[in-house]
Amino acid sequence: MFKNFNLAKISYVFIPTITIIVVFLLVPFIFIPFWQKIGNLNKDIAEGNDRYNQMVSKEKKLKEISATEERGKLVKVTVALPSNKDIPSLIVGVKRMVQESGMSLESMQLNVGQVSASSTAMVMSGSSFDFKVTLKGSLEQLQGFLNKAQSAKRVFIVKSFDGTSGNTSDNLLTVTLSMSAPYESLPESMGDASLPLPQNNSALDKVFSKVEKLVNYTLPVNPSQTGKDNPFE
Amino acid sequence: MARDLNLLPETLGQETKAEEKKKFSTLLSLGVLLLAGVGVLFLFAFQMMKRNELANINTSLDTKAKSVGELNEVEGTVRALDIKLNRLSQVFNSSIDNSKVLQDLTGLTNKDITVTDVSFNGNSLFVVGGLAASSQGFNDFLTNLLSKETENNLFKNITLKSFSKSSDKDGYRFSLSMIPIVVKNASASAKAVSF
Repeated sequence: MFKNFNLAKISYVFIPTITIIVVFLLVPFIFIPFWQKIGNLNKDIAEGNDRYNQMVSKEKKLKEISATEERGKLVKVTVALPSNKDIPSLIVGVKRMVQESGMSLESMQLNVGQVSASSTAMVMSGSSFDFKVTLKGSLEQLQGFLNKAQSAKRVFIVKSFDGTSGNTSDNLLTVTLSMSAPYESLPESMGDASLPLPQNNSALDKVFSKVEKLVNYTLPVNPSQTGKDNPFE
Repeated sequence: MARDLNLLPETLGQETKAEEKKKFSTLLSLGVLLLAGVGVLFLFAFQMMKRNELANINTSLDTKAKSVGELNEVEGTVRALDIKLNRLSQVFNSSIDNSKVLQDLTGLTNKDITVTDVSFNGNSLFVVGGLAASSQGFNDFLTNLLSKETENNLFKNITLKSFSKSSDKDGYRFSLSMIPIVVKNASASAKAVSF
């Protein structure tokens, strides 16, 4: 049976055949997957390098920023746009604007639990607190009030108003204004190392300088002393 | 059993050549196999090198993230400021300067006109009603308004909703609606200084 067996003869045939088979199998099962893995690794490395460079530049920028200055800016901006409804300062602000414009405050309707879902055309996104005030005064005084409402540091939006003097002889208008006070609540954690820093924006710088020029009506006017130092006297 | 041997020189030469060819093909195959093995090893080593490089980058990223994280408070302040300023920008850009519109409107009236009703519906439509002491006074007021509409710098779509003799007072009652050419609140800063 094995009399014609020739090892050398078989190796001549076997080795080239095996080589061809191995090479054909290596390409799809070893070379291509390895190549793809290396390609993916190269991509990850490039992304990692980009992120590292971003972080280096972010760290550099953050170190250049004066924390005190930014906090000061944020405090000023928060007066204009508080993080909550801040109803007490809102009432003080409206009362003072009414007082300074010479009108009289007839009523103020606040729905404390209500939040406007910013669907109005006036406020494009975020929350705002809607309220109504009824004022009495002349057209010029109304104009003055609207002017103050637009230059107030606590930002107000006059959504609509409706005024009439009816048949009164004094010609004073009774105006009901539907107003909105936007506010912006912030997420609890604002720092995120993976996110790039907001870009310096000249438009926002203009907004900030505008906020600085607005008048703060939310400070109480001449707070008069109430009560007694010693209530038992 | 006897074997046939062909010892002719030509036949011996041919057999040697065939043997050489077979040896060559075997050696070539072994060489290719060796090369393939080296290739696999090279790719494996290259992949390991890349993995190591990626691990180093990730370590550097973690270290950098920690040092950036130490500046978390500053970053939070910057981000909060950005969010609030963006919102304020939206608010400023979307609100209409009502006082300017009212000022423009009253600037066009004359001594014969008394404004008794004024409303703004929130969609830019202003409605003004009042009492005109004389029809001439109302004509002048309307002409002024319409001229502004023609100049297209104050109001558009001015519509006379009603005009009739007043039943209780001397003069005429009127009602006009108009759409102000949108005045954004941008001038608020300039006005704010005057207060």
